[in-house]
Amino acid sequence: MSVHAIYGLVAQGLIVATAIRFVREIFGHKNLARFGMELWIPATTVLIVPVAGVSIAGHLRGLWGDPSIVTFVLLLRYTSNPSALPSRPRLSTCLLTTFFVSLPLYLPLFSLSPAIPVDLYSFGWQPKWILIALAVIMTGSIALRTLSHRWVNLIAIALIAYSIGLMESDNMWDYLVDPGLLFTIAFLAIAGVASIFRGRTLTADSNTDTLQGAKT
Amino acid sequence: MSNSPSMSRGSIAFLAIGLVAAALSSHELTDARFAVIPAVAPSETKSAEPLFASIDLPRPTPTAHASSMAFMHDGSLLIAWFGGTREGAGDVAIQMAKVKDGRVQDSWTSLTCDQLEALTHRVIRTLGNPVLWVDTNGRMCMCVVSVSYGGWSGSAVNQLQSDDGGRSWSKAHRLILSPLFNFSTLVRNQTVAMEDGTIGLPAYHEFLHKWGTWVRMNAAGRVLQCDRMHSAAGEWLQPAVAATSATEAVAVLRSANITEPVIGQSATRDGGQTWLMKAPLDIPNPNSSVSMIRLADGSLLIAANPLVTGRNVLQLFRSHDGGAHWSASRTIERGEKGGEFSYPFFAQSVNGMIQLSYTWQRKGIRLCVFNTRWLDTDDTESPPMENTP
Repeated sequence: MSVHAIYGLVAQGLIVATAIRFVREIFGHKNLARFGMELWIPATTVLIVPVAGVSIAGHLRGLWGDPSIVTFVLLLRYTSNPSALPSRPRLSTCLLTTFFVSLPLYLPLFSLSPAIPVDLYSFGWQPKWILIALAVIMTGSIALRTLSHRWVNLIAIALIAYSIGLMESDNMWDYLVDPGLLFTIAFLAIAGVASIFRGRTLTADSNTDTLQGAKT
Repeated sequence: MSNSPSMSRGSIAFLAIGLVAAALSSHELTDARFAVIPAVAPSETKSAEPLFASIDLPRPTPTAHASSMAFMHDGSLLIAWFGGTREGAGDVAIQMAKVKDGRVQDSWTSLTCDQLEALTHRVIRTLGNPVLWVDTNGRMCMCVVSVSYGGWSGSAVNQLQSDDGGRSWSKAHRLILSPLFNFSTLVRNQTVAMEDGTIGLPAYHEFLHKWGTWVRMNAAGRVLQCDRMHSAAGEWLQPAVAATSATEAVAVLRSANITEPVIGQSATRDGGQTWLMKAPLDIPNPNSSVSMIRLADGSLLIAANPLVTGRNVLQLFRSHDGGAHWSASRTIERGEKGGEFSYPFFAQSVNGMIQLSYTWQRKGIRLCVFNTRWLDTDDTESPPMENTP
C-alpha cells in the first residue's frame, strides 16, 4: 500500500472520529477523554470493515477525497488534545483568506468567463510564488504577532509533507487547504461580519430606545 | 495572541525548514517544446496503390465505446476501450486487443473496477475513456476515467503503468486536477510527447461548465502543469491536440454548445503554456468526440461526425496548412439515422499507415487502416460495407 493510500485512509478514520466527538460535544459531553475508546473503535471500524468489498474509508475517499495536511493536523489535535488547537483566526484573517484564497481557487470552477482572471490553483504546480508569499506573510505575522505560532507551525508541517510527497496531489494548495477548511473559514468570516452588523443594529435600536426614553 | 520571542524564533526556524524543503522538492518546468518529427514524404506514399482495410475487434461485452491506441516498440498495436452491459454499469471494464500485421493476435480484459479499487484504495463504481501511450522506457501507460459517486461529471482520472503490455497494471495513482474534491476531470484523446521526455495530456472538465485543460506530466506521472485551454464563451470539451512545430500546436474540441454545434479550435505558440481559443471550424459537430493527428507528411487529419445531430456519419477532414483551412476528405462510415460511428482515435505506424479506431454502433470497436494515397483519391466509391465479425 502506498504512503498516499495510508494517509488517505487514516484521514478518513480521523474525520469520522472528529464528527463523533463534535456531535458528543454538541450534546453536552464536555469532558471527553483524549482520543478515547469511543473514538478509536469507530475510527478503526472505518478503516477495517468492508462494505461491498471496500473499506468504509475507501468509500469516503471516493466521496470527498483526502483532506489537506493542515486540516488533518487540526482534526488530530481536536480529537486528541483540544487545548493544543491554534486560536481561532481573527475576522480580518478569515476575510482575507476568503477573498484572496477561497474565491480565486473555486470561482473559476463555476464560471466560463472568469470574474477573477487568475486561476490561483494553477500556481500550485510550480509553487515558487506561493512559497515567496508564504514566507513574507508568515514572517510578517510572526513579527507583528497577529498570527499564533501554532498556525505558522501548521503551515510548516504542510510544507514538509509536500516536500516528501505525502499526498496524491502534486499541487501545493492541496496540502495547505481543502474545501472543508476554506468553507469553515468563509463561514467564520460571514458570521463575524454578520455579528458586526447585528451589533450595529442593536446599537441603533438602543439609541432609539434611549431617545424615546429621553422623550418620555 | 502573544508569542514569546523564543517561540517565535522556533516557529520561524520551522517555517524556514518547510519553505526550503518545499522549494527543493519542486520540479521546475523546463522549456515547453513539442517533440515533432520533421515532415517527410513516407515511403508508403510513393505507392501507387491506395490502401484501405478494416477489421472488427473481438466483442466480449454487449457494448463497447471510446477506444484508444498505442504502438508498442515491437510494432504491434494495442487498442483499449471500455465495455460492459451498458455505459456507466458496474461491470464495465477496460478491454484490450493486440493487433499485428493486420490481424488480431490476442484480446483480454485489462482492468476491472475491482482491480482499480484495490490499486487506488477507494471505491470505483464504473470506468470509462482509457487513453494509452508508451513512455520513453517502453512501458505501457494508461490514463482511465473512473467514477466513485455520481455520473461522469463526478469522475476523476487515474494513471497506471504496465510492464507486460497491458495485461496487468501497477503504480496506479489518481491525478488531482481540481481543488474542489477533484470533481469532474476526464480524458479522451491522445497524449503529445515533449522534447524533455514529459507528456502533454489533453484533459477536460465538465462540472457545470465544460472546458479543455492541458496537463503536463513527467515520466513518473507527477503533474507539472494543468492549465485551462481558455474559453470565455461556449462550452468545449475533449480536446485533441496535434503539434505542428516545436512550439506550436493546434487543438480541436467537441462542442457542447446548443447554439454553436461546430468543432471548436484552440492553439498555442509557446509549447502549451498558454492556449487561445480561435474561431470554430466550419465543420458541424453533434456534441461528439473528435480526433486529430499530424501525419508524417505534415498535414493534419481530423475524424469527426460532421452532422448537427446524430453520429451516423464518420468522415475525415484534412488540412495542409497547419489547421488554417480544412477540406472534406474520405467518408469512413455512413449509416442510417440512429446509427453510431463515433469516438474516433488516430495513430500512425512508422511505415506511415494510418490507423483509425472508432465505436461501431456501440456494439464493438472497428479498426481501419489506410494510407495517404487512399486519402488523396476521390471519395466517389461507396463507403465501406458494415461487415460484422
